[in-house]
Amino acid sequence: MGVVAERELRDLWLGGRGLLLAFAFSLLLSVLTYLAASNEALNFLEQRETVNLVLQVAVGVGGLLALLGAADAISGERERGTLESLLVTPLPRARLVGGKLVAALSLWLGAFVVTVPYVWFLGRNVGAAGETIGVGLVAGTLLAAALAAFGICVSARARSNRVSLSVCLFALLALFAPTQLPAGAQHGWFGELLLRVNPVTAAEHYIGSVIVDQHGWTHDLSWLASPLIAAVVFTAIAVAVVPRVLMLTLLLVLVLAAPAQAAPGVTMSRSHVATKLGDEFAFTSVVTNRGPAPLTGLIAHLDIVSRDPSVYVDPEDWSDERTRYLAPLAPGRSVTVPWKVKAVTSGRLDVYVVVLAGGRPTVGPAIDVRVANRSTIDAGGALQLAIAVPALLGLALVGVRARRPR
Amino acid sequence: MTIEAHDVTKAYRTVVAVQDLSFAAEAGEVIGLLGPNGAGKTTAIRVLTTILAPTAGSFSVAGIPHTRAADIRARIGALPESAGYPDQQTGDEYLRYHARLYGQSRAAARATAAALLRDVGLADRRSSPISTYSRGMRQRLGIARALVNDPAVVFLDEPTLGLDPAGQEQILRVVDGMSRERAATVLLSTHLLAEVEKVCSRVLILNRGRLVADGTVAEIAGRGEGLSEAFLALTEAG
Repeated sequence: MGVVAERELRDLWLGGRGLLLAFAFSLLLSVLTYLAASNEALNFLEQRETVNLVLQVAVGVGGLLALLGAADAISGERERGTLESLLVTPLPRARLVGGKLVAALSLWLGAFVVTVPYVWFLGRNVGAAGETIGVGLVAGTLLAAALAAFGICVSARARSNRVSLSVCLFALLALFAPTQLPAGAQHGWFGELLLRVNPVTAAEHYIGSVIVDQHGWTHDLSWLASPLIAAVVFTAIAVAVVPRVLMLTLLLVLVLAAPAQAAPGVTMSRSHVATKLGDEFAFTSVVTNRGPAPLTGLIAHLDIVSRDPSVYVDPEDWSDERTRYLAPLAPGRSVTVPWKVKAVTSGRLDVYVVVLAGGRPTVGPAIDVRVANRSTIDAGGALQLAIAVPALLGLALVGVRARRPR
Repeated sequence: MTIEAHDVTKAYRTVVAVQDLSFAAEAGEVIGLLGPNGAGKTTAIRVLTTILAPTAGSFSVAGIPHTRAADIRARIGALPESAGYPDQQTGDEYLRYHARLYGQSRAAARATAAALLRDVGLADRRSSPISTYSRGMRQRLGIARALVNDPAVVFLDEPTLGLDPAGQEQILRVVDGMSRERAATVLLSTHLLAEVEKVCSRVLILNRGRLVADGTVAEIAGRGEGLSEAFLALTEAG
């Protein structure tokens, strides 16, 4: 793989094509960053959301570049008449494909390197830069590897380069399509399943979970299962090697590691919520009849209190439907009650549900809610950054082109 | 023998491109592979260079059985029909890359590239991008690439296609040098009979996938009033 990868990387980056793409990508990020930081109409996003947005764009565009680079890898060689000369050498075909894969992946890594200064600038005041770079590298690399390996598979089978590029673009659009579904369609077990099995939506969900929701790296790790599976499966197909049993075992562990729930009379679907002022969050409570007789006259009521005595909370402002009248519940049966709450006060609060059965209240566990103030981006330095990165890449591009023999 | 083919057959579903091809070649021989368009010349070369697997039959190249494809590829050179070239690379970079694909060190690859560029008359253009090369120069570069591993057998598929007479002459000189100076067996696919008469010691004529003649140029030419008439008679009869 070494010789092919080296040659492919030289052609891609010293030939100027990779730098040209990186330059174009930096222009896109410059515009996005500058507007996000300085435009009043656009600077409505919370700072972590802006960082997340830029990283999602980087992962999306980087994945696209890797996919298109791979889509050209075999069909392009065939169309240019250079493939047969490579196949007639003793080089194992798996190593040829591996070298092509490395070159395609380098396009993602190039896009990621370009993204780093923008992410650092946007996330520096909220301490999000480091984790953004880390999570972006991990999730983005898995996704790019999956897309690049898929592109190689398509490229090897396609009759022409045009067909290969078209199929790959269509597939990528199909993978991104669920992100445009209404929010309601993305909830529920089927909606979540769709998001989980799609490597693109799963990777983006994981990134958002770490950056915006500030979950730990391991909290939603199972969401990386589908990008990882796709990367492994398509790479195995691309290089025609036996699937790596250990990797698959790891994946199974990740996929099956679903959180277990206890089942008291009133349970809540979440124990902690980290959110921002003005954002909505949702959860459910499960009411179970653990007695021998049916329960009638059930009323579930939502309440919210602040832990800070100086902060006044009016629960009416948080939820406009706090009282639910439930149908009778047979012994052993449960009912799930969904709740939606909007954070209208910053600070630390408890949200809990009381269930009245025949006038006797049962209180469920409280949800520990932390509501952060909205922080927006300081526009200072945005313009300089927006100009400096494309300028540096442009200079590198001119330099590379100038030293090419004519 | 450097090539031994026994009843080699290659079929694409219902179409039989090459059928029961049997022949043998000795070291240093230049063999012309003749045939009209669609006769199976390119398929035969692709099978013998292990790019395609035979449907039936067996062969060996440089004493290596066809079941050891990677070992055969290490001992052969090939210039495919209508070979393409990476325009952005220089001739020197292109040859060094291919030498490295055969496992040569960087220093050895550099020396190999320099020597071959000199042999094919491209030393003065070694640092020019291939995009600036003429068609004849590209073909000579392709032949140089086919020689980076000092092969025992070289397969050339229509190497003079589209070249002017001067370009054809240059290529034929290089082909002649392969057998004389390197003692390599050359299988030269062409439909230009004048080329065959000039450089080949033996001729194989394919028609509709079958071998219809195998002999020296004089033997084949003796079947008619010259090689051209004999060729037409053999291929029209099929």
